[in-house]
Amino acid sequence: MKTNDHNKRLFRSMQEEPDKFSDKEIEAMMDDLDQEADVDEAWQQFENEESRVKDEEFATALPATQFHTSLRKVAASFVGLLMLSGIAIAAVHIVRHYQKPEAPQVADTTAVANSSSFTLHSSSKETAESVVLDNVTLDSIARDIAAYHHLETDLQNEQAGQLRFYFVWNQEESLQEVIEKLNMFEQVNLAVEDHKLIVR
Amino acid sequence: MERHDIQRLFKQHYGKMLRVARTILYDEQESKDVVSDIFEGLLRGRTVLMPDTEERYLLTSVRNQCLKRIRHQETRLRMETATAGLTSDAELEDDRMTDIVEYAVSHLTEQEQRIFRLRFSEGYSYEDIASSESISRVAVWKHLSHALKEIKNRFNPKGL
Repeated sequence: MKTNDHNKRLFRSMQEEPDKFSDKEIEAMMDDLDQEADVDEAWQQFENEESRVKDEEFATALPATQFHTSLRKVAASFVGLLMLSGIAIAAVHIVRHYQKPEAPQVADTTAVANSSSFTLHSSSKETAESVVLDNVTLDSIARDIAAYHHLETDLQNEQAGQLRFYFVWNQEESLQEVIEKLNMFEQVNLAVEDHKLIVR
Repeated sequence: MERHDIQRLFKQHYGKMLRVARTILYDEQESKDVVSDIFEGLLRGRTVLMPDTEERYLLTSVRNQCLKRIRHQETRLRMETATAGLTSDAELEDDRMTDIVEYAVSHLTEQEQRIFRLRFSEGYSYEDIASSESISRVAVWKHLSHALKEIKNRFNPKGL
C-alpha cells in the first residue's frame, strides 16, 4: 500500500463521493486496502520495539514492572507463609509425639509463624480468613476480590481506582457483603454485572 | 498478558486488524502504529481476553482507536485549544466512541449494518463481504463509505 498525500486525498474523496469515481478506480483502491500484510515481519518489528522499550524501562523502573515485582513478592511471602506453617505443624507433630504436655510448645511455634508472616508481607497481613489491606489502591483491592471470586475487573473510574484505603477483607463473607462494605466509603462505587466487578 | 499469548494473538489477528485500520486511516504507517499500540497495551496491561471474544475485542479496539485519531485530527483543525481538557480520559473516550458508533450504526439500513459489522467487527475482505451479500465489491465500498460518513457526522452533528 503506497500512501502519499495524493493517494490519501483520493481515498478521502472516494469515501466522500464514491459516485464520482469509476468502478475500476474503486476496485483498485479496494485491492490496495485488502493487500495481505506481512505478519512475520510486523511481529519482528513489534518484538524489537518492545525489547528496546523494556531496556529503557529497566533504567527508569516504571509502575508496570513494579507491579510485577510486587506480585512476585506477594507470591514469595505466600510460599514463605506456607513453609512456616508446614514447619510449625511438623514441630507440633514432633513435640506431641515425644512429649506428653503439648500446649505451650504449640502456642510458641505458631506465634513464630505468625510474626514472621507479618514481616514478610509488606502491605497486607493475613489471618485465617480475613485479609488486612493497608494503604492499598481501590484498583488492586477490586482485582484481589474479583480474582478470589473468579470475576474479571472493569476499571471504569480511573481516579477512584487510585484512591487508597485501609480495609479488612473477610473472605468468609459473601461477595455482596464485601461490596456493600466497600461502598460505604465515600467515592467508592462497586458493582457486579455479568461476571465483572466494575469500579465506577 | 504473557508474551506467548500476545504472539499467538498477533499472528492470528494482525492481518485483519491492519485491514480495518487501513479502511479508516488509509495510512500504512499510522495503521501499523495503531495495531502495535493495541498489542503493547495488552502486553503491559491486565486485560485478559477470552478466546471467543478476542477477535471482536481486537477489531473493535482498532476501529475505536482509528476513529479517535480521525476525530482528533478534525477537531484539531477546528479548534486548536479546546480539546485538550475534554479528551484526557482515554477509557471514557473509548466508551464514548463505542456509543457514537453504535448510535450511528443503528440508524443505517439493515444491510448497511450487516456490511459494517462484517468489515469492522469480523475483519472480512471486500471480496468476502460482496459474496456473502451477493452484491458487487463496488457496492460494498459505497455502503461502507456511507456508514463511515454517518459516523464522522456524529462526531460533530452540526458540522461546525
